[in-house]
Amino acid sequence: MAELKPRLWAFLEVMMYSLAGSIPVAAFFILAFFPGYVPFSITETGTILILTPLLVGVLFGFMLSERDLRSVAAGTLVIVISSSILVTAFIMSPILAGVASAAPAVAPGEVLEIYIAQRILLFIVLSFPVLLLGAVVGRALSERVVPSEELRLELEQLRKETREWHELLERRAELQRQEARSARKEEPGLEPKK
Amino acid sequence: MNRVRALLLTAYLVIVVVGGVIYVQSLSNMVLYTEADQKFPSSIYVNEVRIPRYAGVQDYSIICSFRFENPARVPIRLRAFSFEIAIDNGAPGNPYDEVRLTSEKIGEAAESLGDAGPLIDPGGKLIRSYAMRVPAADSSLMNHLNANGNYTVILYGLAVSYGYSGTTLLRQFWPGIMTVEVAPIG
Repeated sequence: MAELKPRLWAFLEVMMYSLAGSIPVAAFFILAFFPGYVPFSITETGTILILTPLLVGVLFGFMLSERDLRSVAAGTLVIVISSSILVTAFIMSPILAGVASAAPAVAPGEVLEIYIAQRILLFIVLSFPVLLLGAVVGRALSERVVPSEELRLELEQLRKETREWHELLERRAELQRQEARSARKEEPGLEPKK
Repeated sequence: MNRVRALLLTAYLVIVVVGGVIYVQSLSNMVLYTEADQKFPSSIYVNEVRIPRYAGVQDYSIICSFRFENPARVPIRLRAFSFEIAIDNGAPGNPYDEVRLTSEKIGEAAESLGDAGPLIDPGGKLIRSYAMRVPAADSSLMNHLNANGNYTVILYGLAVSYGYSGTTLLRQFWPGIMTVEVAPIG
């Protein structure tokens, strides 16, 4: 049970950051693809589509600096899946809210499921690689900028051992020097005459 | 906590909050705009049609006003409106036949308001009046009273363009033909 607790915490941490990260990724995808429903307009949709997952990915990678790379990759997948759910919920919201029998984004004659599948596929293709790249880069950078507790302890231990080795070597060198000095004193030519 | 980590966590939270606000706002707009799109097209009525004659004036005048009601929960901005008007000549056959309507046409009105268009508040209404003159030369078109001694005014070719405040979304619809019986004045 005691072993399970830290693993559960780690899982919850990854899930929490992933679910939180899925909100901006979905929001900015909506901003780019459904600009009419957003309170402000943007012109650089391409930049938004690339930069948002990259930025979220990098920060996500940073946040998981104490977790291994597999957790980061799994978290990225969770971000993409939950973002897809949020985008689907957005498209279907008028139907779910009961104000319309068909989604307004879907043109007459178009099948809702196909429309959603196309958008989600496009969303995954556009965001997943960038998000994963950002997360891996963020995770790699975090080792330098904000090393994990485990890594920090390892480094401290290594430094301590290195210091001890240095001290040991210095002591040994000092002993050798002392031995050499006493050996010179004991040489016959240098012995005091009786 | 490391200072850099705290800073990055704050940045992450800021992005999440901004994204959350955008998402909730978009979701809300999607529902509200769709509801408005469903209800608004059936909330346009002919408020009044008058055909006054003024002493000493040969030309006819037609004053037509429309009432735009907003049954939705979001303000609607009227961006453009146009229609054509005809007076039924009472001949047998389909009174809404396109060719026949063209021959009976009195005039047309159109206005493009764009972003400066009036805003109709939720539950509110807007009345727009349009006046047109029928030159004396075309007065033969006005010589058709129905059995009740009234004009049968046909409003057709209606086109409404509207949007919502603060967005680029533009919607258009074409209400069906409206017929009004109008008593001659003067």
